Amino acid sequence: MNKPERGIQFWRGLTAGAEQLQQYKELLEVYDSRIGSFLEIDPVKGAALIQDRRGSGPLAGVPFGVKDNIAVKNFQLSCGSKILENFISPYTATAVQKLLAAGSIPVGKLNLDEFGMGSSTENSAFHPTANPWDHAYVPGGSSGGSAAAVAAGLVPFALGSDTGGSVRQPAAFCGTYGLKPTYGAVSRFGLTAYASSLECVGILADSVHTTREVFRTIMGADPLDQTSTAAPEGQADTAKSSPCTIGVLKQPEGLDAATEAVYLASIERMKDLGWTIVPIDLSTLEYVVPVYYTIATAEASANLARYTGIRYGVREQGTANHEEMVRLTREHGFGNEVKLRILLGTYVLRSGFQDQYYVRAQKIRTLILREITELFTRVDMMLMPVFPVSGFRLGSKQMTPFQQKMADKFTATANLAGIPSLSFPAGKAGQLPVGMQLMAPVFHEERLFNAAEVLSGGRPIELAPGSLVLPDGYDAKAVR
Amino acid sequence: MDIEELKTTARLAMLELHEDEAAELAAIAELAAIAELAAIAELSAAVSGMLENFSLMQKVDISGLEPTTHALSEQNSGREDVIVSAESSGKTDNSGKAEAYNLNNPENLIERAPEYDNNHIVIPNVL
Amino acid sequence: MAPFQTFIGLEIHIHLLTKTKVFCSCRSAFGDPPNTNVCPVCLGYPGVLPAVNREALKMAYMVGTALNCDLSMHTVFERKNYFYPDMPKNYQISQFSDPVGRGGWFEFETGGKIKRISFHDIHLEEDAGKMIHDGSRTLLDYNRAGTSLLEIVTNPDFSSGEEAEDFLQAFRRLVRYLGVCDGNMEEGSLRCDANISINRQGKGLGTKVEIKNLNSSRFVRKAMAYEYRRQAKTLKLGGAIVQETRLWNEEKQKTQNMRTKEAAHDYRYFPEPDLPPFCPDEGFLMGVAEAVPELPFFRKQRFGRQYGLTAELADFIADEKFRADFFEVCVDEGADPAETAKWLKGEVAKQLARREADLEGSFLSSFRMAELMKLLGSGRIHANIGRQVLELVLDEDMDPVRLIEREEFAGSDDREALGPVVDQVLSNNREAVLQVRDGSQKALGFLMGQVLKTAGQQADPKLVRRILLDACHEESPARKD
Repeated sequence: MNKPERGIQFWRGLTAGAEQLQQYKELLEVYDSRIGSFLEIDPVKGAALIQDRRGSGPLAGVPFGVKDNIAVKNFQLSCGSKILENFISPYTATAVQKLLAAGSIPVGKLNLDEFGMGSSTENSAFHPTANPWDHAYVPGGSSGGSAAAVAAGLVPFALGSDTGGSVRQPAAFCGTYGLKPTYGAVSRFGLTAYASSLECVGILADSVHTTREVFRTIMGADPLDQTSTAAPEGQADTAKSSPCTIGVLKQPEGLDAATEAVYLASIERMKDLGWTIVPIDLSTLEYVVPVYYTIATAEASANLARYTGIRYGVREQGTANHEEMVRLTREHGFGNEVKLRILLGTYVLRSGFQDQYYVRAQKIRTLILREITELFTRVDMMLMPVFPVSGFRLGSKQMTPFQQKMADKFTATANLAGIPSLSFPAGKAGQLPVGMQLMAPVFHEERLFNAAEVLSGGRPIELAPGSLVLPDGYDAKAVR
Repeated sequence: MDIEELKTTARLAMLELHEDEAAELAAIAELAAIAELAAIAELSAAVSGMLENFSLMQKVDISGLEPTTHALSEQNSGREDVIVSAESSGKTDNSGKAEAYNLNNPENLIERAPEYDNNHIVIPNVL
Repeated sequence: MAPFQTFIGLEIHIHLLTKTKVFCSCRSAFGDPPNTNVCPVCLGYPGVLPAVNREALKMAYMVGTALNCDLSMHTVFERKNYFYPDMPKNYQISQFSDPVGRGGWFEFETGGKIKRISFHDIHLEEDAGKMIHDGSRTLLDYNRAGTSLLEIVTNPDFSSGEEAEDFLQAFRRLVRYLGVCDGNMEEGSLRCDANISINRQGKGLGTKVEIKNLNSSRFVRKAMAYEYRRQAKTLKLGGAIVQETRLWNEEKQKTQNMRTKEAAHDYRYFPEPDLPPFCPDEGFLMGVAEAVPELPFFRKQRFGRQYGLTAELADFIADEKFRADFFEVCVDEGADPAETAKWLKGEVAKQLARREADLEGSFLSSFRMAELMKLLGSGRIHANIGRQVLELVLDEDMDPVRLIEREEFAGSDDREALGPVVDQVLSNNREAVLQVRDGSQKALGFLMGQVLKTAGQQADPKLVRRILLDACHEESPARKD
């Protein structure tokens, strides 16, 4: 079992100077060739973006990866799509900007399902990513590259995005922590929009400690994102520490045996810690998927309308007129899953259908929000499975795209309600890690961190077999 | 979803859906063949599958419910009317504050267009 | 009575005079080189978000206040979806269900009467970029994309093109008064589309035809008149009006079909998730109320009442807010209202026109104007000198009093200063004095000539005449006694 000491000194050593950054780049290329988590690797370019690497903060000199739908100046921003294959970002996302200011170094862009649409990272237009625990399995998605890179020990943390579970599900599949913050707690500026009212920039990390440090760094209101808000004063201080009251599903339906076993084991573990377990019914849970997909696709249909090959990106050549140019650019630039969601979203907004689908979904969203709000008057947190199955094989025969969507019900609840949720490694199904998630009321991320800290006993995640180790003869003097 | 609706929807979304493909699709849909469909037919089947799932929502009594359009009930207070130009931006703010984004660098931006001429972006004639 | 009733409604777009665009911090300006006022936000780049400009909202609420609208306390932006190359995101951020203002009314003068029309709504939105068609290519300039646009939609309350034209002029005056738009129709800061339907008297609205390309208020009148004739002719011949959009062709003086019916547009409006609703608080609303001045229609009426200005003068003074404010400062400083108004409309306007200048940018401040008017009013200078002083103020940026001292205008004009000259002339020409006393105009003219010859050009002939008459007659009663 490969368990290197991965403290801050280890990571600072990898980024200590030009030579080390170059070595780190080569190491990343070698290790990543096995799993394909990155779409672009360039720690040297990343280091050039920051002014002060020698800062004393907990993230100074610490490298990180960025899902390729989040903008980092001078890096590509492909969103896993052919339509943006050649696009280099002229600006940096607010969350990344804040990490740069803390001295943290972006080392590359990570693979994803095209525009964040998928649960396996197989919808990337470029290549699939393997689960580092078993290369025959998917890493989950859509932030599969981010989860795989952290699980393989290539970076201590990575930014992802979570629209309906896209941070938490790959985190669960790869055995990392995965935080979907409160909606608006982290600026979305620079996150390529898929479903604006649902998505957040999230964090995949190798420990609760790192997750917390990164969250504290990137949170806060941003004038460039008018949906972003500062946490209410004092909210962090009221974070309950152990013991606490946890709501659990009376009858978690549709789980595979391994997942159910881990869910029940997690409840037992909480009981052992002296926490109070309150069985709950979530009557709205069965509507989460249709409501989520109606709203998400509606917003996506507008958000993805800007990709026409006119102002940037790839353009279909040799077309007779502009309309044909736009149609063919989109026909050839988008993958099938993206087209499906655009079509669905266009349809649910059409006059004559809007009331039946989109407006109805928004009203049921109100109902979901009410039920969750009421629930948190009785419990501090809610324990939920992340995904009904513990993993599936690359190739998608095991789980059709439709089944994958239906499986979003546990995660998408948090997105519809805007509440924070933390996915944590909770057990194993054979070789593969299994994750569970805790949900808390809005702006109570600290409550999640405290609980996870207790559950983990303060230990970082177990890295996947074959994770990054420093080669013999690595310039040790840099690793101070 | 029937073929006419699919065609209308695709046209609104500026997605290509050739006439003959649509006709072919109609035939396939009538046969209700699911397996081994062409990409476009697969798309149609997928759309229909999801719409069927969406129809679950009809079961919910929504009377008296207001729609939730934004996740938090935040209000907008607006931004100051202050110009951020190429000159006033581009400075890196070490505090991580948001004022300092180098958003305005017009030449650089226009150069990202697949075709441009004399600082105009060029496309095939629209008329 | 005309056999047909006309229903005209207007859709007016005004460019708000904000420094920056409505959803990003790019400069909002007309006439800059292509694509120089652009950023990732207004070019619709991946990952960027709109951030609404509070000043644009304030201006929108000011217009809503001035138009007596019901102002929204929870106004929502929505996405209006359609593909077009001049619109970077392929949706326009606009408003639909909860616009800034609904309803409302406005009164204006037309045909010697006061007419009241009502509004459907006013809403804030972003403008599109510009397309230049160049052979087989189209060139795109996004400087205008994302600039703030306020759309004002009237109900079909106008019954003729003249009314629409008069309204448009009054509306233009209003938005200039509010300082929210420069009202320039040629540059497109104020754009207008019209819809017109005609029907037999008492039958209600007919089939609506939309008219675009109305780049001046005159075009609105002419296009409406043309459309009335065209539609009336069709109806008289038993034909039916086709619902369509037509363009006004100024060269041919006629409207022409642009497209028939809407090509099945389905805008799929839905609330813009990137922008939370705007709920104006008390502070914002107070700021709006404070920023809305007395409106031109009412100010003009007050000028007539309070200062006794003629309708023509009141109209001229109240036409521009700067001019009206300028006028009232002069009056506060002690200038005579009627004289000041006359001078502003006459000599000042003439001199400014000669210099192709406007009052606002000139060296003539309201204080200088008041000083000049007081000098004239006290008789210290006469109109000729007043005109010369005005020119010097405009050219040299100096106060009237200082100019008079410098040019030694005042000394000769002064009754006292003229005294010794008059005395001298009278004692040298006793014969003429007696003739003047007997009523001889010729003798008076002779004496005036003598005085003016000695006193020089600056002497006011009217003043000299009065002094001479006084002097001649002053001597007579003494003798008679």
